[in-house]
Amino acid sequence: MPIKSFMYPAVRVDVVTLDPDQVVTHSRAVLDDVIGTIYVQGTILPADDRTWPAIVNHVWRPRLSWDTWKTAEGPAETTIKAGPEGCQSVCLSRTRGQGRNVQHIALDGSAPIPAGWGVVVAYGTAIIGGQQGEQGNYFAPRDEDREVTGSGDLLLVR
Amino acid sequence: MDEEEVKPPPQQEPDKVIETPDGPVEVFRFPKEL
Repeated sequence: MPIKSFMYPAVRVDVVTLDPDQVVTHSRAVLDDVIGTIYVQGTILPADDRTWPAIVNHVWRPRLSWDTWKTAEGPAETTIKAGPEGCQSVCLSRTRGQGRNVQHIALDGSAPIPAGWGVVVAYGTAIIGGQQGEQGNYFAPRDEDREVTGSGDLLLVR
Repeated sequence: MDEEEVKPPPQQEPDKVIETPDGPVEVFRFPKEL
């Protein structure tokens, strides 16, 4: 399945969909730019004997917790394997060397979006100001507070 | 009261597709911000 990589000026959004039992290897260079990841469908497993923290779908995993399985030196790369039903994750990475603050909203109905925050749709559908967004779309920040409606996983970025 | 008209999400094509050992990567270099 293809990986979709949306390169917004503020943040890079990678939507990674793996087939059942598909194995992929991520290099350390790629991982170094990762802000965090949210798994939205299926299951994922370690493909080696490294200790692997339990991954729960629809929970934002910032880079800090992503680091917990690493060795002290950090691996050159890591290999993961999708479960029998495949899996899908959405990964945010920094651009231009800039880190970002990220807040997760599990949207079910409506929620406020404070001024100054952009919104990545990680899963589901969101409507802000009469504009619908779907997975991978990014609502740019505004100077005023807004309201979002819909359902799914949103990642607020500032 | 009139229902608010909702604009659908933009339809976008990737700027390029890179073949990798893990499969194709569709790259959207300047995707439309909403």
